[in-house]
Amino acid sequence: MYSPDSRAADPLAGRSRDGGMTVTATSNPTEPSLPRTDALIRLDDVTKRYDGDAAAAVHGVGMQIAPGESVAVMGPSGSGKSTLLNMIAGLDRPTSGTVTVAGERIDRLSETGLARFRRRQVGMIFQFFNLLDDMTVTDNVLLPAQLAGLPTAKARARADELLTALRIEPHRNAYPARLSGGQRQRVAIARALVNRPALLLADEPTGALDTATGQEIGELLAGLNASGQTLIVVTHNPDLADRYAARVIEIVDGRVASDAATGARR
Amino acid sequence: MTGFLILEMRRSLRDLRYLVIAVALPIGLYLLFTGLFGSHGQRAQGLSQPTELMVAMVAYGAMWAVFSATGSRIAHERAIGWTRQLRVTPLSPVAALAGKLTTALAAALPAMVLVALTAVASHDVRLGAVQWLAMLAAMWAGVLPLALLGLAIGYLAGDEIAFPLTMALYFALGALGGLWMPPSVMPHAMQDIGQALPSNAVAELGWRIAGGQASVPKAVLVLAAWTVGSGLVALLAYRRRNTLSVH
Repeated sequence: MYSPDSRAADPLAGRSRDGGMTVTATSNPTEPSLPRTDALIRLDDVTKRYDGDAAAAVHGVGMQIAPGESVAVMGPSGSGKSTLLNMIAGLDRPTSGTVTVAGERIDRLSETGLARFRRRQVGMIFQFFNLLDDMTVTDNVLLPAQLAGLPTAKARARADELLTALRIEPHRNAYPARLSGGQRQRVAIARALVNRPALLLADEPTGALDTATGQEIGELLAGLNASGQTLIVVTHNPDLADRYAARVIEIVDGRVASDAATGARR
Repeated sequence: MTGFLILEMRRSLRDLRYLVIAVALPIGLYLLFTGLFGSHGQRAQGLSQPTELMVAMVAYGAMWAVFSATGSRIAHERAIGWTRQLRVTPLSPVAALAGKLTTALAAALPAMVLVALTAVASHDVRLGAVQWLAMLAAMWAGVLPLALLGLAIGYLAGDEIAFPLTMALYFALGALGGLWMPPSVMPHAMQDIGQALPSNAVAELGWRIAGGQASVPKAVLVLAAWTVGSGLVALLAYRRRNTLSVH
């Protein structure tokens, strides 16, 4: 089973001397073969059906993801990949089947239990960054730590560490509207990591960025994964999936159509 | 939860719309109306003009304070994805909703107190200590249905429409509720409508307490009805936007 110790890996451990993230090549991409016994995430026969929809958004999906893996979830629009991510994040519940994260059945947790789960386990970034435009970069990054009740000094130290590692420290007092798309996504990543989550989930993280900036964010995410951060990325971008994930799961019509290792970072 | 409340209060106090419309506008209107209409006439409930206008502007400022912390802000937060992001944080959805409501009510206090202080400083309005406390407390509690109405707008309206809709509601509730002019000078039909509005009921609580009249059952009933109605709409709107689906 998943060991709590395995989530202690700090993505900042891979920081280079100049404060940037190192992107470490791996010669041992994770094999997708089942079953895994050390799964951080385990979905068993998960189906999600929304009220009024005849077809299930997700149908009978089973998968396991080990700690430290980087997984890209791909598929056409409406294929169910974001629904899948939301269920792993505890933002949505399956209609049937079970979702287990870090040894805990999250599909049967109460709202309070889910909030506790998200505090410990989940950081999430989205396509459009979702930053508060009336708060500075630092305040945006600090928010989840403050909401989790982290002491102010510790939260600030952690935010400083992340801002430096993600190379946005010079913009710490700027408002998001003054930043480029790539910088905003870096702020969103820092915010997602401030509570040291076991899981970093990304829903189309490069969807609103130009190609070069998208690659930059892809490398950043790969660097975080190389440092031990478990990463699941939902993307339409095959280049992002092939270059920066070790495993690609393709979802079509709510079902797993393929699940294969890539040659990422080789 | 405390962290969320501090965050929301900071955002409210830095919101230019809040500062201008909830704080500066009622004070400006108070000074304007007392200047235009004189300071010494007697008005309804036997109150002096400055006292009656003070109560009206306390209600007016409180109304925008709760609207500004809810309606258009929540609609904007939904549009920029913040509501979605908030669901990934350790804050439970119920705590987020309670936090929004608490912040809206807290934002009303500075707006209310500053109008009262202006009335004291500019027109020497005098009430007993108990009267001051009772009046402000009753009016503060009375804006609860307006805060719930703001929540409903925030979860139902789109970003573009939420602000003009809230402003229109604010002006309509202010005018029809008798906050700009005494209800007694309005046509009977408008008076009847006004008496059924929460804006008038909030002011009525204040006028009666400031006038030394303890009995305010009609205003309390109006506010209770609006609280139930607005609360139900707000809850349904919130659930529509945020509820997790269940097995």
